[in-house]
Amino acid sequence: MRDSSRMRRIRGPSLLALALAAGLAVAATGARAQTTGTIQGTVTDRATGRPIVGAEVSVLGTSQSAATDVTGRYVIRGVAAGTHPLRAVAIGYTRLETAVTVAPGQEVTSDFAMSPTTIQLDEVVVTGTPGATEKRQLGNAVTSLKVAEIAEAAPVRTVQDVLLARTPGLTLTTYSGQAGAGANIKVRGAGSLAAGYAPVFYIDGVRFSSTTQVGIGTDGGLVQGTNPLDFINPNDIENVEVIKGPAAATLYGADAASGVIQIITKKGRKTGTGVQWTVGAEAGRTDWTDHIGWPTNYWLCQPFQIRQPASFPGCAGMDSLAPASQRLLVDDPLRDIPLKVGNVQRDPCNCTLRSGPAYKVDVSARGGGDFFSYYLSADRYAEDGVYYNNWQRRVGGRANFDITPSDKLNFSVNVGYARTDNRMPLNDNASNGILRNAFRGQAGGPLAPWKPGWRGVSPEISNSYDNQTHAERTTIGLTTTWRPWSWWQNRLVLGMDKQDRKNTQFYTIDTTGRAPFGATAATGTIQHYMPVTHVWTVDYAGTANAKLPHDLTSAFSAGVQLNARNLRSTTVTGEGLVANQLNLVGAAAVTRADEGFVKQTSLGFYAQEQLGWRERLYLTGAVRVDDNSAFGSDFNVVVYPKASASWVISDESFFRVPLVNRLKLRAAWGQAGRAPQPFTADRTFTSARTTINGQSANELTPQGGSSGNPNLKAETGQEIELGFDASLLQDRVGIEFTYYNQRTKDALIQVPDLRSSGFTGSHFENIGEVANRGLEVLFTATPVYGRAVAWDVSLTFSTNHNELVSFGGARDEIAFGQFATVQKHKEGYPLGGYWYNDVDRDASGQPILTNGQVTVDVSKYTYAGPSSPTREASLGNTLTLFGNLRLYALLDHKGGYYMWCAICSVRSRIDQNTLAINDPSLDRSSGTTPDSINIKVLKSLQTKTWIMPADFLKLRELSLTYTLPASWTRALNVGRASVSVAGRNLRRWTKYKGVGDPEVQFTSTGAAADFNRTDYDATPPLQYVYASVRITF
Amino acid sequence: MTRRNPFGVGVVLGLAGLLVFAGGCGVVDDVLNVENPSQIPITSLNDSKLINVMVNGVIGDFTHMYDDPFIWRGSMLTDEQVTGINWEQTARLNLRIVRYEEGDADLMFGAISRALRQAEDVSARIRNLLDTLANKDARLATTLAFAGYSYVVMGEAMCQALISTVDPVTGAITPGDHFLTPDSLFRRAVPRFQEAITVATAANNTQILNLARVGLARAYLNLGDKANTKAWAGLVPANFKYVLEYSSNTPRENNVLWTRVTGSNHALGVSPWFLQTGPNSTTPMTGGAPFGTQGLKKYETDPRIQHSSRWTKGHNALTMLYKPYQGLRFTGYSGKRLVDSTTVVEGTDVKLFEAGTGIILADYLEAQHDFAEADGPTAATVTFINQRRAAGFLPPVTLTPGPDDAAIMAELRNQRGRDLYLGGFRLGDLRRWKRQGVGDFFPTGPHVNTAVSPSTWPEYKDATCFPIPLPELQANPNQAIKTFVPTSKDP
Repeated sequence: MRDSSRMRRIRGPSLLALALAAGLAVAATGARAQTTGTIQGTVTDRATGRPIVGAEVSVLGTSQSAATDVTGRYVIRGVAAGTHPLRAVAIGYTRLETAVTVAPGQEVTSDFAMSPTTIQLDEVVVTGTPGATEKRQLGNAVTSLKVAEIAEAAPVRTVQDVLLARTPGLTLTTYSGQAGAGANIKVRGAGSLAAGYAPVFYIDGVRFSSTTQVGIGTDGGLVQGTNPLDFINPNDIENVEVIKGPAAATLYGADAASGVIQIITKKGRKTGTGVQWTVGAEAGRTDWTDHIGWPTNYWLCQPFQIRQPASFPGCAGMDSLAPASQRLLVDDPLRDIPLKVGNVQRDPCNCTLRSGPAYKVDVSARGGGDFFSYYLSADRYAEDGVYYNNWQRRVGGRANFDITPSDKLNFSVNVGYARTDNRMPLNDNASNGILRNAFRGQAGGPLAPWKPGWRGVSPEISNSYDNQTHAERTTIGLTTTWRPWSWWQNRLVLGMDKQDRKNTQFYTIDTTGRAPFGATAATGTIQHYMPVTHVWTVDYAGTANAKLPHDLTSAFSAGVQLNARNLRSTTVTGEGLVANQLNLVGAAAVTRADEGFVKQTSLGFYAQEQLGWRERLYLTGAVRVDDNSAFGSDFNVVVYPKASASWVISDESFFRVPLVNRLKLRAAWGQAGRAPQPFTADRTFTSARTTINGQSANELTPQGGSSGNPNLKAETGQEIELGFDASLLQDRVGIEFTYYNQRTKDALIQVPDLRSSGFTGSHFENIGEVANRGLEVLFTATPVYGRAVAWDVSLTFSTNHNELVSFGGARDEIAFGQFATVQKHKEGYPLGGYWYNDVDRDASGQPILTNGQVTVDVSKYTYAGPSSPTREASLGNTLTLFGNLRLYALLDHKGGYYMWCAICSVRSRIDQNTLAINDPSLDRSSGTTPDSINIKVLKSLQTKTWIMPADFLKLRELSLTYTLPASWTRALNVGRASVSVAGRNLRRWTKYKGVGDPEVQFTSTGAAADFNRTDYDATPPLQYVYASVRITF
Repeated sequence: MTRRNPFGVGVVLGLAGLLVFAGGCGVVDDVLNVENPSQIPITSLNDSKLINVMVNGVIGDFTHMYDDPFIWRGSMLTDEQVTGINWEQTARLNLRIVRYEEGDADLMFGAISRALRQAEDVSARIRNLLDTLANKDARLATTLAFAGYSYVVMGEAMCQALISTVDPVTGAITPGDHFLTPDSLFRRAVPRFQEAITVATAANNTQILNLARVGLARAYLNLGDKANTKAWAGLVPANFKYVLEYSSNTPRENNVLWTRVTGSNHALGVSPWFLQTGPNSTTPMTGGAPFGTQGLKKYETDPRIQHSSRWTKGHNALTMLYKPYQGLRFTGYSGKRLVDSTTVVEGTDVKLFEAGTGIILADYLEAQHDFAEADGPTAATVTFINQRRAAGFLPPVTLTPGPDDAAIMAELRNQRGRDLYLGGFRLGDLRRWKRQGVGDFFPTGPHVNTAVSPSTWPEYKDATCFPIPLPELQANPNQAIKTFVPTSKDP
């Protein structure tokens, strides 16, 4: 009777899962029915008595488990008769264990009342080996983000939003506030100059491509690359685990020295209580707000300019003898306010910035039976950026099935699909970008080429730029877990991440007669760049457990991992369109095609032995052997060892420390690598086109080829990590403290090719050394916990000291920078640190005037400071009233670094449109007054003024959520319902005096992306506010 | 939770050890073999089927070096152009500031070195592959001629040079171990041109033959060898012309001068003070007066150097630039003059640079100029001068050899500047004249931008050539070379 009732409640998707499972499960089910019973019960919060949703109750020694539903209820059927240990685990609570005796054909009840805790040593984390590994066994820190919980409380639209300001040691810098833009992510500082320092990403054990997606125009900071994580709906994520540094990531091998980020999606629940439907809807908007600031442009009309109205129309009609204050022009073109000065009139155009609407809807179904579970979801997300030609769309879904035909075998199939569409505007240094031309306007004073007050083209022209990316992404993972005996467990993961993109840039036929995008674009052009990326994962691992004498346990693991990445791209171009409507490439007068190919394969083997003693002391040793297709022909394999120790000292009988409830000490040492880029080891030529006898002909050339290095190998990151996890004051306060000291040896240094050899690029040599060290602290507390009021606090703090130890004698420094040489890789200093030029000064510090002008020795540099944050902190507060009303706020701080305000320099030197230069109150009576000299300094090539402290504090997230009382939800016949209003990037307090924001990065792609820090008309993180409703049935 | 392992830890350890051993033994090499269809190993180039595309590479790499960096960046050190480029490092070239740590010196040396190595190495490969047959193969004549030209332009642009060698079979690189002066580069060009002449003669290829003859005359002129200059220039027939071809087919094939004068990235323009003459062609240049006050000719009457009639600001929103029309060294030159806005049609009779505008690398006219300069202030030179003035719709001059020697040579230089305008000769000419004691005609004084933005545009500095770039020094294993600090001035 009970079974037939359950069948009636299961609908569509779960029936599909049932069908998949049926063939495998039916025999086992039939056989068990006669000798098994059922365990059921509820899991509640001991203090509040409220049900705990999603708690996992498992029968130890078997694979049988169930999760609690929205009422806190669980059911485990088919449990073999006899007495079993039963364990309940829930996020944020101390685990509980009890023994239950099951009689054949009977149902036994076992309820759990769990106590909250701030430190979870029993939490199971992903480590690379099969089987459950609890945090207590780890000698290294792993930050686990409970995304399902975060997404309920915090305004997170993307995976980036999830990662930002929640993980000590993880630094995330957004490339831009544009819809669809990505972010620069690093863990424990930049450990590499040239091999990239981004962590590697896995989703449900399947590696996926996480590099920023390059497209047309993304080089040189003209267009932002699209976000590689945008295919994941945060609401589909259960948790994210951040595995930091080589000591923790050894088992991941030659790509993992910068850390590993594991995304674990939501799975079904073997609740046996039917389908749990969740529906969410969200509507919001993005705005450029006053707290971000507006660029005000000035122009002080000089008497000679007033006499030249043709060249300075804004100055026309002024009295050249009038006081300076009456000759000052002021404008704010970005705000689209009217301008009427002299012979200039500009009316509002409604074409600069807008409120960008956004919405999201998602639906998911979650459930399962005794031998299967499933999670199905679909979502639609749409966001318009503040620019009229910027938007992002996503429609996607996920299907996760888990089938357990026997207690020895488990299959899980995880499939994700997303279609994303982006349109990106011109940005940063693009001459035709809207911000650039607004920031560099001259208040209508001088004759503007296109529109009064705008520097370059008009905003209408900027908005006509059309660069769209349409992508389809599918991730598939098949995980088989086989446990032939209780002591031996095997796991095989087969996975694929496939992405098809089509990036199109379309210039309509120019009607202005002025070719604003260049002569070729004026003819009407269409270009498609179509990369197809495959990332394959084959990952086998086996673990054998054994009990040894003297209360020792052994867990021996060995495995093999194959990762292959394959990128094929096709570019087709048509130039000279007949009509804008006829915009197929084949319809153009000139057509071209190009193809690209990149392939890289890595293969690694590892073995690990973990010895445990009484579940409180663990010693782990491991070794990994890696080979990679990018290694040089003269290099074979690389070997990475690791060792770690974990001691839950509070479990010792002698442990008597007042106020401390639990304490785990941990230490880890290990190595991991960073592989070089594909094909960089080989000395090669490539083909190009040249024109001979009027025909385009093939040629072979070293240009675009590679000088290569046959000895090329992976970098080796080596790290020692020490720390402790502690809970205090009856588990009300938790502290995770970690110190790390990391060295990258054999660091890949980009060494310029010997130009006289004909190769004019650079090649890699394993000669450098980079150091990172720092502290990470995660402090969690529950100062108040009761039925009426609950207050949770989460504080993260981290530091990073980065240093280039050695170039290996290859060079003295690498100097770079946008608009001026302001950054250097230099031994003894942080990678990409800022260095400034100053004007030449006398002994008293006064600028020296030569022929009435200041001078700058551009070969003389002084160190300013690091370009990346050296300290970060975030403070999250959650205040819950009466269990229903929750107020959440997250403050985010980054500090100890500088930003190069290139746009400030350009505005002063070239546009001369700042107040500091045009201030009518300044004393310009001669060229030697302090004010006049200061203006000369500002107009000079010095960079000292414009490399500024960039410390900031932001109110990153704020939300108010009301969960409907149970009486209401019962009346509405729903399980749980909540409504929220929330916002991101609501306030900013900063030392930064630049025009833009200290939290931007100039370019998102290419070699410059890792270290170039430039504020040059990048869109700052924008304010986003929304309201949402979420209902679970 | 755990049970005693019936097989023992040792067995499992052994199995795992086998796995690790398998990895270490390279059993997996097949898995790690990846194809790379976009590249060809240098060791695979010794294939006779690849000769044609390798020869194309020689021509292509020279061609795409010649417009940029050689012409565009090289001429910025001279009085041929003013720049409106926004990139300050490059803009400084126009102030005669060239730093060996910065990209322009690197681009110049790298591109010329690539063209040189291509020409030398492909010549060696052809000889390897064809043995004695190579001696009458026009493809070898072509690569040898381009090797000669690569030495010549390297000598004209670089203050000093390093030359490394690449084994044509193994691809092994032997770094250069000593510096070469411009004269030593010109001397290296001579045997290449001579070999090219020999092979082209055997192959009966008059086009390459004459290309090598003009190149040889250019090398000897730079060396100050007047007799040989006249000897080889005098052999060039009147109808000879060798054009470096560009097209709109791919961005690489575009003539960079086109992209520098079109669209919003306008970075190349005409100063009326170019060619060491003021607007009336007789005023010696004393430095750039504030732009817009020099009495510009709205319509330049010499078609070899004419420009658009309306200035626009460059990409830096600062420099006022007139866009040059195609002069005599370019395939779109019509010889017509824009005397007013209606006589000829801009874009038809007079053209701005286009993507496919070809550049004349060598021709009879250049040979005649070389001949005349080597010949000196003779009656024949005066006749030649007046022929050239006629081409520019300028009245003839009456100059007498002997008393007017200096004026004859000055006028010859003036006409050479006009005839070869933006054709890749000016930097070499100014350096040669300075080196040979004729005079220092590099621009001096305040730059034309000075009046607009004095603090960032001071007076011209003193660079005359491009230094060896830092990357070349850093990559050279020779310690003496690694620590060398190059200059950007001729002695």
